[in-house]
Amino acid sequence: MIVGLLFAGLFLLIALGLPIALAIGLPAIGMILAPGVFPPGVDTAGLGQTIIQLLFAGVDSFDLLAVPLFMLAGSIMERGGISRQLIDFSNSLVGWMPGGLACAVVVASMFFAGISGSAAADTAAMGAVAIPAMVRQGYPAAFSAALVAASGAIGVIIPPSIPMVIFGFLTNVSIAELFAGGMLVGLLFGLSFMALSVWMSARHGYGKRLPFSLRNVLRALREAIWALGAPVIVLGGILGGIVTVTEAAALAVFYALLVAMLVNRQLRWRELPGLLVESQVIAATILFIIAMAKVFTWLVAMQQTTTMIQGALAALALPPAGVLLLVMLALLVIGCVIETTAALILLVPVLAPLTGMMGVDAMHFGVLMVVNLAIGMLTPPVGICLFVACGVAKLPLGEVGRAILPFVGTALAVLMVASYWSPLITWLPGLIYR
Amino acid sequence: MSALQRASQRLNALMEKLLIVIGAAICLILFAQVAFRYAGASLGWSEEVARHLLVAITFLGGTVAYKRASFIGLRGFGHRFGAGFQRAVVLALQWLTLACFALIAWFGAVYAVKAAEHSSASLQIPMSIPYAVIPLAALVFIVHVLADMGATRRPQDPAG
Repeated sequence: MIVGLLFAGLFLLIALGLPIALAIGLPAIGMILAPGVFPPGVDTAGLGQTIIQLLFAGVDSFDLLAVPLFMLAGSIMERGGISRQLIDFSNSLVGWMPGGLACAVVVASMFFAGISGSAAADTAAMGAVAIPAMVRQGYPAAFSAALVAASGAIGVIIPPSIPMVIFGFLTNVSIAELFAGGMLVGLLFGLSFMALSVWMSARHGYGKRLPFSLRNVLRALREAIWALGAPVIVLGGILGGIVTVTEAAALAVFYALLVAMLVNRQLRWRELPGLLVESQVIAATILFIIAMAKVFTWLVAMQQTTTMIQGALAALALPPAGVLLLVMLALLVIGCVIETTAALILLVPVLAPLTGMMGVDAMHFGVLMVVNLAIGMLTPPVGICLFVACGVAKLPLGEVGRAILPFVGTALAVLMVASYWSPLITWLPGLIYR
Repeated sequence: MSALQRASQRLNALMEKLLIVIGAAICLILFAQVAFRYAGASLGWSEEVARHLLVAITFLGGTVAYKRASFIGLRGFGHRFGAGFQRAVVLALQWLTLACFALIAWFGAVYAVKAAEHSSASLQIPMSIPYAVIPLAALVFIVHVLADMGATRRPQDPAG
């Protein structure tokens, strides 16, 4: 009953347009303090104290420090002119293929994903350069925007990934292992989008093909070498156990500053305060949701919700593969109606204890959940990558929404492979950490 | 523009400046943490300070995010209703938000005072200091919500 009212309040407030953190916090705080929810012996002052402790504990974490830092590193790299260098280098590598520039955009997005932890940042960084360039080469604008949005979603799958940082924080699963687990799925996403682009470009005659030239590759590599160094430092530092995820994020900020200011000379000192504020505010939006959700999920947990769901799933008597499919389908639907980060934060405490019933370990489930919610970033009405790409391309949502359908279908196929062929996710962490 | 709206804007400008200082401080502290560790002299305080600064980013940055979203009109499906009904719903939501932050400010202040009995693990500062950011941010939220309520009631005011 209480959980039902909580979620009804949440959905009503989101539907009315209240900012998501408030839509989560208002019903939770109201319900905790409402008479009759807790036994008469529990006094209001004590409940108020609990709310403040939960708000504080929700974000008092060294791991979560990586969120604003990866945001800042991504913003600095975006402003520092590395998108064009990455696209030029990728184009020199794969521009000879049918749909060469489209493939280059996917490859460049995968490189950028290795620096930034945010899909929206990846989409914005690539979109501004890639969409006009693709349109000039004869690709339809809607296809270009859809490709950039789909490739941007890889940003949360290939490490570093802000949703994986949040999942690790909420479940105590090693964030470094989650990062390693996301690597091959992210690559498969990229390769699948490239294959789709090649097929569609060959079929519809999109774009131009460039002759392959080793000299071009070396020239583009010379220009992009500093930008390409960033993923090496970030991922090498984390996966090699040299620095923690949060420290790697701080190093990424300093490396990004070095490249943007001293090497590319595209960023000036006076632009830094603006970038700091922008990235801190975007990070605060996520962190504020996490703080409010701590109160919400505490109340949900108090109502034994996970036990009820476990009971309901057990009554269905499904095999683990069936339970996993059911959970993945539910996540896909929820990812379409609730903003990705909020969905992750609200659902992890409820779903993470059910991994035993799904036949997967917590790390595998974490990566699957992030992949699943990344697909939610491509679908209306709350798909952030879709919105950003539409904004950059100045196209209506409906047009890009139709063009993105083949990419969503491909992404769903990859999700199914990742769900039922576990080595895709578990092999690399096993190799590095066990 | 009303005095409340001016106060809201000034507070927001102050919060933005604080975010610059806090963001830069976190970067420098964590960079120093790595550098000192590899120099063989780990910093004992860096992690705790960085965590408390993150709490400050969350709540102070949350006020800036709220201000930028400028919650004075309905989005979502509420947009489809008539103007009078929309304004009534927005006002009701603003009252709810105001009550929520008033409660957070009150309970937060009470708890921050109580937390003076406890000291932080490495710096040994009273825990009131990191906890104080919650009621302070709630007060800033209250000013922003009140300013929004003024703008909702006087939609014809071009400065509002």
